[in-house]
Formats: sequence, structure tokens, C-alpha cells
Amino acid sequence: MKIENISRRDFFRKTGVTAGAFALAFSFPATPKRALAAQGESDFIATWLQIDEEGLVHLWIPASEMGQGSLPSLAQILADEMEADYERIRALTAPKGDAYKNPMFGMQATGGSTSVRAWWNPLREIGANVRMMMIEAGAQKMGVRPSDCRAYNHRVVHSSGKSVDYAEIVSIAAGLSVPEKVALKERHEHRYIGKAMPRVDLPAKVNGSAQFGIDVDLPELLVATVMTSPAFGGELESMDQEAAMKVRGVKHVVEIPNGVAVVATGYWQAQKGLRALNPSFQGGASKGMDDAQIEVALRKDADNGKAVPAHVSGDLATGRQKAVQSLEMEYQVPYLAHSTMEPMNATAWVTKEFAKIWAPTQAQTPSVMIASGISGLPPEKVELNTTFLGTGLGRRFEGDFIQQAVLISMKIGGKPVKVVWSREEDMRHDFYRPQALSRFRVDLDQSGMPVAWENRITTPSIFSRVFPGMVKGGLDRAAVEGAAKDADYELPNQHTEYVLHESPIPVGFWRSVGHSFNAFFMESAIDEAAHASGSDPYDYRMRVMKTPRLRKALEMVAEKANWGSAPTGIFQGIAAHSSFGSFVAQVVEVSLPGENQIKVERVVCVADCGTYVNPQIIQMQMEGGILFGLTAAAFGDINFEDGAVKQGNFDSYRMVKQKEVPTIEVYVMDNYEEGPGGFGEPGVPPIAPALTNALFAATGNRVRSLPLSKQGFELV
Amino acid sequence: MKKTLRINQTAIELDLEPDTPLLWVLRDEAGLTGTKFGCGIAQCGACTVHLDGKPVRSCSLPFEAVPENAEIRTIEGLGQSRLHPVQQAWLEEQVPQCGYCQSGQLMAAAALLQDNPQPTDSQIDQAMSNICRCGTYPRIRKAIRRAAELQTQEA
Ligand code: FES
Ligand code: FES
Repeated sequence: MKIENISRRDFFRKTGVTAGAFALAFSFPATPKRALAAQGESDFIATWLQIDEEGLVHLWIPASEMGQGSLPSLAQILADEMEADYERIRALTAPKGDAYKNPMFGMQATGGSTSVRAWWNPLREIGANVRMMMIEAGAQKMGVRPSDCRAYNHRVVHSSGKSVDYAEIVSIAAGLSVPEKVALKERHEHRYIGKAMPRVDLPAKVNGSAQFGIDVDLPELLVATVMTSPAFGGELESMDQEAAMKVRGVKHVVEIPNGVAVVATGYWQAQKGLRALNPSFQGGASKGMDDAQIEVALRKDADNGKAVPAHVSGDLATGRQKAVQSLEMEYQVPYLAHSTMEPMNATAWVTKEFAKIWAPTQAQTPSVMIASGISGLPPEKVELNTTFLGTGLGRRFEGDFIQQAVLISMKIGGKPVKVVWSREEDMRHDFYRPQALSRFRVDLDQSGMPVAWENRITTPSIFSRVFPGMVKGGLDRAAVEGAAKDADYELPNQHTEYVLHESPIPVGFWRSVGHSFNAFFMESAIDEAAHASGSDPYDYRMRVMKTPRLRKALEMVAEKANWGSAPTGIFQGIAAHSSFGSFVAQVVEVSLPGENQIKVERVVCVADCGTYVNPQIIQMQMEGGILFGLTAAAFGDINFEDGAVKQGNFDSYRMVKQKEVPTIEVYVMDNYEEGPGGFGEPGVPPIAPALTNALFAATGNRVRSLPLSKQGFELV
Repeated sequence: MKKTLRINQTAIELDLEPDTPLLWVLRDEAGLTGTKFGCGIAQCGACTVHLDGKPVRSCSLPFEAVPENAEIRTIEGLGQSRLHPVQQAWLEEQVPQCGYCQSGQLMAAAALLQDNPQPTDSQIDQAMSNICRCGTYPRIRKAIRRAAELQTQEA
């Protein structure tokens, strides 16, 4: 990492922030380690931090903020290391820039619960540099030795007690060179890191001023809405352009890949125009497919498809010689939509000279490449500003909505346009969480321990489309994550394999990806093994658990939930799973208020996310992850008819609401030695199996296929 | 169709198609983007505003059905001089995550507390049928209780 004081550089003025301030920029080596980096981006040096003449600190945060708390967490790291007054920091999402490339990805993007993990060290270093430079500047101002000074809460304090505010020394700091070496703070010196500081992004989120993609406004901005073929890949067949153009406010009708856009003065006008346009479609790779056919095709692959090994250790047959019982189990989960709270949207203004994009996106580098590809402009002529995201959930890693905005702007003569999808378009044109089928044969010995573990996972591949280079020998690691070598249990003679199920239904990253189903499969299978061997599910897990940190989380969750001592009428289920560098254990307590009714009374969750920046943000992510997973487990089911998604809105694709929400207790373990883990996703995987394990305890009914609603259970 | 609406105590004259939902009047005509679009069919509550103090889902209220002299209040008009108790409680309990649903949640909560200063749990369940994809529900419940306290202190 190269750090530069750019206070005097020309570039600095172009960033649109007041002159006369102190600013630091950082750049990373031009060739990132990982091969995912986009080609041809300029050596843009990005501002990370600036202190203006009032002493207000402006931070450019290199991660998209979609609720997961990356923006406030990263701001908290910088503020702590630079000894800023928390009230005097302002954090913005960084624009496009090479320097903001996530070091774990080698591209500018947010996902995989990586933000704090990837930026923890670089941002601490940046903050420490600022602190050192401020001390240097303060010492100069006071005419004392820097070694006799320290920084504290926006001031440089001399041992005599004399002090100066950062605001008074920004012009001196602006002329300093960057120190060669800096010392990071010790743990006991942290004033914000590790504390439940209020999130810096929340004040704007309670007064309506937070700017999401859908709120972008520009002079002369038109609004487009789209309809694409309900069957994936189908083409526009007919439309009534004349009728659409007659609708008040409609300006253009524009064909786009697989569909059509109506451009108008506002969203409602565009929607009315689209209704009048009444487009029809033909063809499409999924045309004619319905649930029954999709099910048959999946099973055919599970039976006869080409299996590639995901993890092989020992030998099944040898292991089975020691077996006294053998469990054959089949588990299944359906396709799911993301249903981000804010429907897909993007704003683009593309002329012959430049492309400017404003979007709620998780994927800056790929979006720039898409815009560059369509417009023919070199990437350095593509500007991209990331707004707040009304949830991302992995859906906003895709570029389809950006592609549309760019194309429409070009087709209407280089005018700015905001594309806003209806909820129905959003639901029907997702990149779905793939369906998956997992078959097990688990052999147990006399003491109930697994002696052979055979598991075949059949599911579509996400990586084949998104990052084909990462699929090696036919194995998509995301499809087997959490069930292969990374399984949390000691599984001698393990044979886990993957079968690719090809399908025209587009699939993508959905909060916790493969862990979202493999945790359900694994934690159900382990629960079945526990019951089959007559063991308590918690004790059994403790015996078979291989991951030390997960074992501790499991131990703590059992204690916090009073495992085994639930009051009459309350039934407990347990699950634990590690993902994204973190370790999460959950106990679910259910009651059965009426026939086939299930009430989730309480969820107790223990999370070991290693070093944490803000324990409250981790709690929030666990609460949110649990409810996201609960929604999926209870209701989530995307169905198909004639190749199109049947569900269209929240009336047919239900979300958990306040009345169904259990008490949730989250305990964040203190584990500073381990370095930071992810927290946006790891709360999701354990909830479904903990819930169905509780349901088994309550009813003796083992739910092997989700959602519960399809099994006749109603969440109340 | 021409009509004058009073939005956050400011009168604005509008000439719009009668079927234009109030949501899009607010967002696209009045430039008040704090009120959000989530579903368009009165399912999610992201578009909740107050019409004469009562919560309404503005995506499903056409311009023609908004009474001429009705007082419309949006998130931008809630706690204009200082934070409304629900906003303060929302910050104390650190409710929002992505924030997208929160304008609607806050407007629904403010209307509930105006009607019923000490709501029970089941009254909260009843009144708060808004969707939050981030799952901020437990904090919303706590914040409503806290706002009820703040409101009593103020009164
Ligand atoms: S947008 Fe009005 S209720 Fe969802
Ligand atoms: S805070 Fe994100 S949808 Fe509610």
C-alpha cells in the first residue's frame, strides 16, 4: 500500500472538497494478487480521508452500505486510529477508484462478509498515519517535540497540558510527508474499536434524508420502467407503441435485451405507459417449464448426473465395516428470491464523452466494465457513484439493472435516465438462490459416531456464470461450502460430491450462498445421527465437533439458552455452523399453539466473529440474519409456470412480520486474538436447521424439505 | 386534474392524472423522496405517510381520493424543529440497518403512539404490519416502548 499526502495536488481540487485542507490518498500495487481484477482501469488515486479547515473529518469508505454496517464499522476503525472526535467525522461511500479495490477480491466490490476482514489492517494503518502526522503538525505549531505529544480526541496534547485542535493544524499537516513507519494502537488504547458506538449512518436514516439509488435526482432526469420476458431469455413479440406514447408524460419506448422500457417524466407515468404498451413475449430457454418438470430434472441429475468429488478422505467401504446402523436421508431446498427492500434501479447518463452512473450496487468494478463495454467508452471515462443500498443480499452484485440504465440513456440520445423496476419485475427477474438436493448415507458405529459419511449435493452452479475461472474440474466450491472439507464435524471416511444441475433459471449469490442450504443439510443430518444413536443433540455435537471455536460457541449457547431445561410446552432445537470466518451457534425454542401451527418463541444466538469493531452491529446482523433465514425457512418458495416465476409481490412471496418475530438474544464472544471475521452472513445458516430440529423435538416430524409452509406448517 | 395539497404544512398546487398514487406525487412531483416505494400494492408499508394524522399507504391512495384540505405529513415533516420521540428512540435503540423501510416504520409508529400512547405488544403487532427485509423488528418493538416513555416525559 502506498500512502500519499495529496493536499497540494491538482487532483485534490477535482474531488470537489474544499481546498486548504489536509488529505491523504492511498494506492495499492497495480497488479492485484487475485486474477479477478478488471483490466484497463486507470491508476486513479483515491482520497481516503480529508480534514477540512473546520476540523471536520471526511472519510471515503470503500464498501457499499446495504444495512450490514460496513460503512459505520470502517469509519469507526479510522476514527479510532486517527484519534478523531466521533462527533466530527462524516463518512461517505467512496466513488469508483482502483484504490478502493477490496484486497480480498482484487476488485471494488462488497460481498462475502469481507468488508471489515479486508479493510481492518489497511484502514488502521491509514488512521495511524493521520495520527502521527497530526502529532507532528501539532508539535510544530506548539514549538515542542513530537515525542512529548500524543493525540487524543481531535487534539494534539503536549506533556505540559498544552494542546491544539486538529482544525488549527490542518494546513501544517498538509505540507508534511507521510511517515515511513507507524505504530498501530494497542487494544487498551482503542476508544471506539470494540465498543457499541452509534452507527454514523443512522441519523440520515431516521429523517428521510438518506439517499438511496431510487432517490437520485438530476436536472432533466427521466424515469424508465421495464418489462422483460417472463420466460428467461425470451424476446419481445409485440407491443402497442402508439397507445403507450399517448399516455401523458411518456417520452420514449425503447427496446432492451429481452424486453422493453418505457421512459417518462416519472415512475407512475412510465408504469401507465408500460401497461398501455401491453408487451407480449415469445420463446425463452425456460419456456414451458413448471415446478413438476424442474423437480424431475433435478432428481434425474441427482440420480444419474456426473458427480465430481468435493472432498474425499479415507474409504467409505472400510468405514462401513465398523457400522452398526446406516441412515439414508434426502434433503431439499427451493429457489428463493432476494426481494431487496428497494427494488432494482440505477441512474445513468451516457454521452459520447462520458458515462456517469449512480447506483445502489455491490459491484463497482464489474459495473464499470459493463458500462464501458456497452458505451465503448474506456473505463476511465466511466464515473460511478454508489448510493445507499436498500438491502443488497447479493442481488446487487449483479449488473443487469446497470446495463439497462446505460443502454436506455444511450438510446434516448444521451440523456440522463433512472430505471426503476416494479416489485413484480424484481421478483420475476432475479438471480435466485439455487434449489438444491442433498443425499446422505451416514454410517454410525456402536457408540453412535460417524464412521462413513457419504453426501451428494445436486444444485445449479453460480460461479459458472459469475466467475467461471473459479470452477475447477467441474467443482463449484460455493455449491458445497460448509459440507466438504470445511464441515465442522469429525467425519472419518468422508465422501462428499457435487453434481451440477444445469437449468435456464438464473442463479446468484444470496446472503450466505451455499452455506444457506448446506448448513440446513448438515445440521439436520447431524441431528438425525444424534437421535438415531440415542444421544442428546447438543451432547452429540460436542462429541463430533471438530472446529474448536464453534465448539465454544455451542457450549455457550447451550448455557445461555438453558439447553435441556425448557419449560413445559416449549421445545428446543440447536444448530451451529461456521462461515465467512465466523462461528455461530443458535438455539431455537418453539411452541405449538394450534394444529400445524408453530410459534417461534425465542432464538438464542452466540457469535464468535473474532476481533470486532462494533459488537452492536454484529448483534444487529445476527438478528437480521436470523429473521432473513426464518422468512426463508417458513415461507420462501419460488415457483414456476410456463417458464416464468409465479410469485410477483409480497402477497404471494411472504416476509416475516412483527407479529411472528420471536425474542432474539445475541451474545457476541470476545475473541480479540483471532482477527476479524465476517458478520453480514454467518447469522443466516444455522437458523433453518435449529428451527426444524426444534420442530422435530416438538412433533417427531422431521422436515427434510423447506419451506415449512409447504409441509403444512403455519408460522404464527 | 388540478388540486392543492398541503404537505408538511406547505401548500402545493398540482395538475396530475387523477389515478396518480400519492406516493409518486410526493416523490416525483414534490421531490420528497423520504417516502419509499417497496411494493405498490399496500403490502409493505414503506410508503406510509399521515393523512390527517392517520397512517395511510400512499402507494395505494390515488391523487383523486386525497381530500383537498387534508394535511399530509411525510417523514420530512416529522420532528421538523427537533427529533420526534420515535426518531429519538430509533436512534437510542439503533434500529435501522439499510434504512429503506424505516420512514414507513417511523410514520406507522408515530401514528400508533398518537392514537395509543401505551400500546400493548399485540397492539404493536397489529399496527406495525410493515415489512423490514433487514429484520429490525425486535429493535422496532423496543424503540416503540422507549418512544412511549419519551412521549410521556414530554407531555
Ligand atoms: S409501497 Fe406502499 S405498501 Fe409497499
Ligand atoms: S432497515 Fe432495511 S428493510 Fe428495514
